[in-house]
Amino acid sequence: MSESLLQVEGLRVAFGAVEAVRGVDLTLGAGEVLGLVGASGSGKSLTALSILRLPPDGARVQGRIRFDGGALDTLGEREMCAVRGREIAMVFQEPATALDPVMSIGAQVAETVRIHTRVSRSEAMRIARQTLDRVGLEGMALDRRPHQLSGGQRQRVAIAAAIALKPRLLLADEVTTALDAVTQARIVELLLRLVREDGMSLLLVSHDLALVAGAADRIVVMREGEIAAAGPTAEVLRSTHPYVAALREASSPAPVTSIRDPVGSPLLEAKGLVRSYLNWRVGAAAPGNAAAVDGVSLTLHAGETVGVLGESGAGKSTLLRLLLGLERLDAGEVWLAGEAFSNAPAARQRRLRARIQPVFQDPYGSFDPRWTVARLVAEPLALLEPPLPPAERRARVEAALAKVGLPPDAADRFPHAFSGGQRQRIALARALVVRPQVLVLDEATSALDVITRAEILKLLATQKAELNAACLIVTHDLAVIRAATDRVLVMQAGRIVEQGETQAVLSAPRHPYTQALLAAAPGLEAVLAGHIPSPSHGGGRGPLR
Amino acid sequence: MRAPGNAPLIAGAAIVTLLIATALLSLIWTLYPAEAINIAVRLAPPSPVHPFGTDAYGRDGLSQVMAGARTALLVSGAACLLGIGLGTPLGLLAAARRGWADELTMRFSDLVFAFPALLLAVLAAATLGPGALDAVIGIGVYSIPVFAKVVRTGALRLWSLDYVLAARAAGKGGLRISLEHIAPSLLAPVAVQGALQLSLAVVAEAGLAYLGLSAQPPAPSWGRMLADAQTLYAQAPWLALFPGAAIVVAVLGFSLLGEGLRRRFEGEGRA
Repeated sequence: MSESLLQVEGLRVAFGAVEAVRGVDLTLGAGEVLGLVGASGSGKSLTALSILRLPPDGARVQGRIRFDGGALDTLGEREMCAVRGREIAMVFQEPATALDPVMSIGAQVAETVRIHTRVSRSEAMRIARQTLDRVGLEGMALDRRPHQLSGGQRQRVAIAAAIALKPRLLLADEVTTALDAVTQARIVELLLRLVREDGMSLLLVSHDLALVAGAADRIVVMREGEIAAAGPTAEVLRSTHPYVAALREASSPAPVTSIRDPVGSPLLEAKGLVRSYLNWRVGAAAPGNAAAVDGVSLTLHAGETVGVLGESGAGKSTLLRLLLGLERLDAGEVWLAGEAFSNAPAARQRRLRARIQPVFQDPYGSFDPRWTVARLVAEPLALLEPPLPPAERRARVEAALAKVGLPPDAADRFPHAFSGGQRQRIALARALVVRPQVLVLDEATSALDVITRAEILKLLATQKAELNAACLIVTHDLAVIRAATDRVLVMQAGRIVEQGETQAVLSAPRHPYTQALLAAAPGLEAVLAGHIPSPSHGGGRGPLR
Repeated sequence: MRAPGNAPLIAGAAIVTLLIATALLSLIWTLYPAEAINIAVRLAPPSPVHPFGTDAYGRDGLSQVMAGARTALLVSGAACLLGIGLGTPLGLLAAARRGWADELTMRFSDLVFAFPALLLAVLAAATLGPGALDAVIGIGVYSIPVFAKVVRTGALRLWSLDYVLAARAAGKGGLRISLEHIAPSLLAPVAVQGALQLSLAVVAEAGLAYLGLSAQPPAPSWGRMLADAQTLYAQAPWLALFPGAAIVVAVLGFSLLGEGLRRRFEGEGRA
């Protein structure tokens, strides 16, 4: 292909004896959007970084990289610096750390301009202003600092800094992963608009097949450092390659629960929960109390799984902490198995705690890195009265690990020896070790790739059935809600705005906010049904079904 | 994976080991008895017989510098232990309880910060009479808020992590979480701060000794050696040179050790 802008041939990246990327070939034409899809650890980010010749320390990179007819892999560091930011730009996953916290957003965008061109400071600022306008930050003052912006706005600033000089190729590495569904859709829309306007090429790296399917002309699926499938989007989606099929299935997992009528008295009952915080946020209209949770009531019966759906900042995590009794209630009460849990005397609260156990979001921050898995998993056993003898503690820990599919020798290792998915299994084991009646999951699958996510959800369903427990799943991920919950509560700005049976709510959302959430979520079904939104006509996503 | 040499750590550890070895050696052997007066050889310049020379009373300079290391290390070490011993619990408490406990601890810290170590030592001397204990109290009390703040800052970050939340959901209280999860993770920053604080303490001890507010004669002390040398510096410059150099070396050793530890632990954090 003579018109291809980027050509990667036989790319290999190795760390010591371990090859993380094993012979990857890519081509990307001018104005084309190429999706690079794979689970975490598949080598997709390394591939993107290798194109910019910015591999992590200790990596050995081999292979030919040609850009616009010239070789990139033989360029010296100085010449490469001229390419980075000018010809090829990159946007990273984490908008919170990709920007310099002490630099104004105008200066960060202008920085790219001033590095590569000899324009005056004021001219650079003028370009920064124009670029920020282009990425949808019209009217945002140039002297704002990153911490004053939301995640989506920060990502827009990062994109502005990347495209200020109209590069020919933009590498976007998981740029929407840290964002909620609505913001995700807007960022993808923005990227596609920029591609269209500037004739730029885009390499969209993501673990989310559905998201990439809605945006890319062609898709390359990577697995364990190799290309598993490649081709035009529609073709790849229909591919019979087993890994692609697994990825596709995991992107929209089939429901694993059956709806049953709630019987008996509820296991968990929350009545009119209110929690407000002092509002210190810069730019707040007036200082005062902002309610994070504002009059939320819910019930949870044995055997039932209820989802709480909402964007980041909707108050979901606060709600969950209130239910767990980890945060002071301003008003309302929580009942657990027919007994008052909130405001209960310390002894009773301790006894009841064993019945409600959490699984948290971050598979990395969830564990004390200095503790062995055995000690971590055993931690909630301290709640049991009378205390278990050591031998029995060990037996309980090993039983819990076995339940989540980990070998007994995992007990004596440290959390860093495990992958994200395995850590989430450990977190589940820690919750299960006291055999609770209620499990609450705070975005417990958000940091996982789709295949691992499907495994964890399946595991959760089995364990829940075994304990006849109830589950509360807090998430912004529609696929999880669809796959795992019987009922769903939609939360916005601290209130429940809509609730009902999951199928009913998802197929006929009534509240405008729920409708917006559904419209924003990437849906494979739509793409498979032939509504492939291509960059040339707007890049908007088709309706979900 | 990452193994560039950590020169500051090696150099710092070597100097500190040398200091401690010298101090221990001085307990059983010095060239001459450190406090022995021998007017016959007063103000002798450095020579093979008296490598660091002698002072106005004919006391051997090398022996005094060796024995002075004892005082310097003992006072600095005790002061730092006092600072860590009281500052760490305060920092842990402030982070665990937040609210008024935090406010009270931090305002107390600000208050102590407002008093220089010198003033505290003078106050201690006024009540206890002059002695090494004054210096320990003055320097130690002054370093309490340093450790309290280091610990509080680190602890606040840890308290926001999910594993602490999980421990709370497991019914553990503030004290147990502080002891089991928070404190062990803060050993690194406290060790780094401890080494840096020791280097400051050596200077502070010398300063207080110079003013007669630390160990009293006949116990040898670098600071007092400097004070004694002051009137004679034109005649016998070696009197100021050797104890001065000893202070510099000790400060350098602890600073390098602190910097080396910091790099070492940062490397760990990245791995």
